[in-house]
Amino acid sequence: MPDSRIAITGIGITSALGMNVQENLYSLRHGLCGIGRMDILSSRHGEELPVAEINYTNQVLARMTGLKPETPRSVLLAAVSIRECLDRAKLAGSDIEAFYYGTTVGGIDQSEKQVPAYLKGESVDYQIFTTHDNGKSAEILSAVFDMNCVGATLSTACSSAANAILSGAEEIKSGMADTILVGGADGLSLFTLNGFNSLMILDRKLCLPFDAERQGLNLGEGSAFLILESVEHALGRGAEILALVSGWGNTNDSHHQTASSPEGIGAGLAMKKALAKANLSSADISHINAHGTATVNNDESELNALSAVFDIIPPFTSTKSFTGHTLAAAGGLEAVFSVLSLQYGEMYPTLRFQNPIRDNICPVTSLTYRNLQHILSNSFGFGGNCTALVFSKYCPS
Amino acid sequence: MELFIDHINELRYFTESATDLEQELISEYKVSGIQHHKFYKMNNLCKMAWLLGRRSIDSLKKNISLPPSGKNAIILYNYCSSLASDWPHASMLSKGGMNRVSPSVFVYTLPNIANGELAIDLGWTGYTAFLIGSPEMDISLIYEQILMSFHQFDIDLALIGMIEVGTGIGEAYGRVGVVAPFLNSTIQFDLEKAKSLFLHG
Amino acid sequence: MAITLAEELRNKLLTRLNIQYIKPEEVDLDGPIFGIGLGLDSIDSLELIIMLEQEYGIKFSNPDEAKEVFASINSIAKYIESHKQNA
Repeated sequence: MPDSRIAITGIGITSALGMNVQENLYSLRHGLCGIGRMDILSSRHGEELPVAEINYTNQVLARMTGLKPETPRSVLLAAVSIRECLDRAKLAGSDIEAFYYGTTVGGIDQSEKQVPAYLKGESVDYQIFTTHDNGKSAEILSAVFDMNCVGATLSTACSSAANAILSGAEEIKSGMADTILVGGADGLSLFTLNGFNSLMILDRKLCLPFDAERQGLNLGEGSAFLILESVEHALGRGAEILALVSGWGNTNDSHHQTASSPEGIGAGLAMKKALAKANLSSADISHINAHGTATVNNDESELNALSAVFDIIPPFTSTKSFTGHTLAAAGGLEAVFSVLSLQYGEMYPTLRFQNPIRDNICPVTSLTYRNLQHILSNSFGFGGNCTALVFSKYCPS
Repeated sequence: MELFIDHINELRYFTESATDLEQELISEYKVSGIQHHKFYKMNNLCKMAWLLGRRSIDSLKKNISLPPSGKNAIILYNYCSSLASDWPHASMLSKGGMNRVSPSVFVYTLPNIANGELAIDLGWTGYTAFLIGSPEMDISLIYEQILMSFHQFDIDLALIGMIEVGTGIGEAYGRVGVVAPFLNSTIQFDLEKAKSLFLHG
Repeated sequence: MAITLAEELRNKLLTRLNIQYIKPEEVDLDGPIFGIGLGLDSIDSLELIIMLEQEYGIKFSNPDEAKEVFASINSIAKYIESHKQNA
């Protein structure tokens, strides 16, 4: 019987922690937080809003990737981590048969530069607006890497990359493609920064996930991609299997456009679905990479959902305390971190945690070594979109 | 698994501004006979998606009883994403700076809020997704997504549609239908049918 | 007859929040506006916070502070008056 389990054979990542897997791993292990002052994105908020910015201008990213400097920042970041991902998987872009890309910003960072001129009636480069929507980004990446397919873009807010992984996993399972690239990217933009500010969910200081004193999130930027293939296919070409995608679930909270239901109903359902898909019970989960944005609403709601799903909540953490909230890319970044956790048997801390929200429920607070078998990763987006993924250690059957 | 499609609804407008398009959608709402107090707050993309979605589901309910709420999916698709709100948000920010940004406009700068609005109104907790495509993309990708959802996602019914609503200048267009293995319909949901549903024109 | 602050607030609120299904006169100035009543939600609360700042110079540092003030249109009017006196 062919081994149809879903293997992860390549990973690539950019974030405020670093421009590749090694740099991110180093930062995670040494508690080096990526959140700080805004340097590249210029905004009047610069003084007061900490962000997890990647310290490369678009010019530099363009040189690194061979793309034009007017390319949307999300695409530049994506290109860097797709390159790493393919290299690690020992694949060429032309080996990719399907591509699922999660983004919400798309080309907005470029479009927004043109808006003032447009409003004044000055001449505008309309070419810029072609990348405004998200669909073009996947097209550009598909062409740049010579992929054997056109990418599908998922735009489901903060669960976009997680849903890209879910869609890729589905497709491997259904046997419709052998080698799939999944992930997401979102660059910082004034559009999102000011938008989130108007929702009053940004912390003026460094964010405090799962802390009773939390005041909101810090925005971040980044990109992360994974290669998915069946174990059979991976072994057949001699690929190294880093981990498995063993479970997934997506549900709608059906409560409010931006706030989660206090009980975390959609979140709980998504986690249960993912466990069921993985054929696991809640007791089998070794570790949870929570959504943990540090908003007053999410963390309480997510904690309630965890309490409902788990008799004893396993060690959980929010790596957003390191990377900020990278919006659509978050599910991808956290998938890569989950793979690293499984590979090296380590759990990364929730930085700056001091006061539990209730019942002395505390996240992981320092780098902890443990033999991990199954990790649950949560990503919840506006629009009630709740996605849970389960990553598992690979053992030859 | 054989899938059928039914309760297809369509709306199409040619307008000169976002406000004109909004007025058309409000007129449509008023003759629809359905009440939804939050309708007026939605952006044009969501207004269109909701009108079409509710119409399809209401007519479906006359024929069959719906599966449990967790078994119903909403899968929407377009090219222009949330341009309907991106433009006003970016303009307000540009003209007035951070103090002129409106949270209720920003909220709608995510296309999947359209899925969310329908999910809230219908009380559905199943799979929801918003896919962005382009004229160059093969519709079979969307078609396969929908098939996969049935085979793998444990869903019994999907509300699917294409909602192409942009700045309100020019054409705005939406087409929505219900797909399930058990409809009182003989129209098979195959690739050709998906193409006719999702392609412009 | 001059319009009262509460009536002016009511008009501004309904316009700002795009509430078109009800006439201003039909909205009870003393009645609840969040949840039941007008059915306003957390996003509307944020819009109101912005409106109070832009039109009446009132600042809230976080949404929770505003909750009690937003109990009814009259309570918002009272709050504005008391702040004007203190200014």
